[in-house]
Amino acid sequence: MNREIVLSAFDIHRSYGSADASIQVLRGADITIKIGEVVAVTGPSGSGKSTLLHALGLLERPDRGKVLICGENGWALSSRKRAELRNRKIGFVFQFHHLLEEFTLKENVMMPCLIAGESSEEASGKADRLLERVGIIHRASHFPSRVSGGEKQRAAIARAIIMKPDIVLADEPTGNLDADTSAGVEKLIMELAEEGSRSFLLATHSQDLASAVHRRFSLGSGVLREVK
Amino acid sequence: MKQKLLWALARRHVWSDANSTVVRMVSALSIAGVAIGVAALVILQAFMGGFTEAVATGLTAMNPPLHIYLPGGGHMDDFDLGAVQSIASEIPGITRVEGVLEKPAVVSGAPGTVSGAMVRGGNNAGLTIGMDLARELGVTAGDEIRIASTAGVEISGMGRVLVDTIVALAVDSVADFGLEEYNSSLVILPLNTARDIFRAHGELTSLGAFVEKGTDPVEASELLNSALYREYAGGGWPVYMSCIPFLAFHGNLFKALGLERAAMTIVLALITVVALLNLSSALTMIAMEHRRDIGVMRAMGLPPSGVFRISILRGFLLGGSGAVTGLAFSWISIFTINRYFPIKLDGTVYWIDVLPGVFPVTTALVVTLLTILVCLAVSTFPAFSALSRSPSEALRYE
Ligand SMILES: Nc1ncnc2c1ncn2[C@@H]1O[C@H](COP(=O)(O)OP(=O)(O)OP(=O)(O)O)[C@@H](O)[C@H]1O
Ligand SMILES: [Mg+2]
Repeated sequence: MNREIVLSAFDIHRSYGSADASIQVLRGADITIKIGEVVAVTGPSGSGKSTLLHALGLLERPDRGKVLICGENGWALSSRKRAELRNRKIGFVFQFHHLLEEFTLKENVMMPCLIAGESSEEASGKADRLLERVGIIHRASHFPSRVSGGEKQRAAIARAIIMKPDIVLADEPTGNLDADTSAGVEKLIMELAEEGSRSFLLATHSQDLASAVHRRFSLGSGVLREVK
Repeated sequence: MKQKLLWALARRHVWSDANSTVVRMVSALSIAGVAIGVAALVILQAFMGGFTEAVATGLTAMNPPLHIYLPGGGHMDDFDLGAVQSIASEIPGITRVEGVLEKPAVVSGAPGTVSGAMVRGGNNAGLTIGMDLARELGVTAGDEIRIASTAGVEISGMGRVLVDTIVALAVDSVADFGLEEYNSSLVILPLNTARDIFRAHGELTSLGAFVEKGTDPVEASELLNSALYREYAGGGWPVYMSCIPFLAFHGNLFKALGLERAAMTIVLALITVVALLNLSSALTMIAMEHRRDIGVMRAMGLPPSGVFRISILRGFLLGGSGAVTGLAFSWISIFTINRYFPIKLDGTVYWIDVLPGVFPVTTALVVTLLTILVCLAVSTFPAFSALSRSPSEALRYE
């Protein structure tokens, strides 16, 4: 096994609907991502970007295909082991921040550590450092409903990387932000990837983000093609 | 993953300032519903149980726990007493057997007063009368009352004739016998005095046996009764003495009370069931409101067992808070009612004039436990439904 490779997926198929009215969203998508690589997937709305990321992130089982996270066959594991793998190796950023409304930004950021069983002191220290790093430490004790969209997305990014995952899957991380805020968040993502030599897979419509990454794929007709 | 985290999640799902008003209201209402159900059950049991207990206590305070009598109301005598005493001495737990002569009479005290009374001759040093009767007769300790009986029988040249006896006696003490029934009619005096009044020498109307502390009167009574049966039925007697626990005398009363209590318990249990149904819809709603959150938690690595436990804990929190609130409310209510707003009863109808509330510990524990168990059971539905979906579904859209 190649130690350089953090995520690889082969022949991912996924269709929705019943037998007579089914749509084939993915028809054999393949992808390989190495350590420190930032990869973008572009494609029109409805092309299956979210479906792909959910299959790669072990959130939704594909009809066919194999997903290896750091060499482990994710969909062959028990659901408990798979949850553990998501906790330690995968970070998620969603289009809508998806922060827990009843918890402060800091508590949200701490959450993956607490799930992993770390003490709250330990998690708190890490969260403070990350909130500082993403520039929202002054909002640490605020609830998500009281902060701006950009701040929420920064908190969501901090939450995605607090466990130092090998790969972060970001589904249109700037899709819901205005241009200026987007630019800031995009810059942050690129910096974080650089600093931690962490791999990112970004599904995006943003041309700026897509042009800044190391490699680019376009999703069309259910397959991924690398854009040179 | 720590239990503390799951608690924090469950707690904030059911109750947090950041929750929508609807969720908080639904939580509050379902807690209130369960609390009312539990409180209603506990308060009902407290007063119905309190009544039964007060009556039973009053009855046992004034009567030996074991009652020995001749079926058909036939009279016994000192010979019977001696026989029963020797039979009872073989039975463990029975301390002594006494003879009682109890008959109705007419009593009068201050001029112009007259009342029916029950005169009980037994193991009493002086003459004691119930406080309500004393008031009615206008007498206190030291005063004189007259007891008239028509029960005497004399054989004369004209055959059997009823003879009136009027005896004047000094009241030694006035007592609160506990039950209205006794306070308003009972006169207790030494056995020999009663025999003089009723001209019934050697005669007894019943026997009473006492048991040691810790001996079950029902068991002792069964033992004595079967010993009496062996002795007399075995000896070919057509009618013989029987023994029953004194409270069994009032078996119908206690049965009726029990029946009423059971019926009301069922009605109130239904209220609790409705409250629990309401709680289960609240849980479903809370689960729906937090589907996305659970999806996010799963994406972050919360295992299925964690999802399940959060669901269960929500049920436990809602049901538990409801039950505990209900218990606290009922305890405070019972205490306040007993202390400041005692429930007055008509003693001539109900035997006691204040209805005491006795916090029913066992009922409270059982009701609380059942409520929480049902809440746990009910919360497994949202738990299973959360696990039946992939985390992805809840995460796709805002
Ligand atoms: N649960 C589902 N049931 C049926 N069809 C679905 C389901 N989820 C997704 N689809 C369909 O699958 C297709 C791909 O959806 P997906 O969300 O992956 O696209 P996308 O590329 O992420 O789009 P967007 O850019 O709008 O987010 C769409 O046509 C969508 O309607
Ligand atoms: Mg999408």
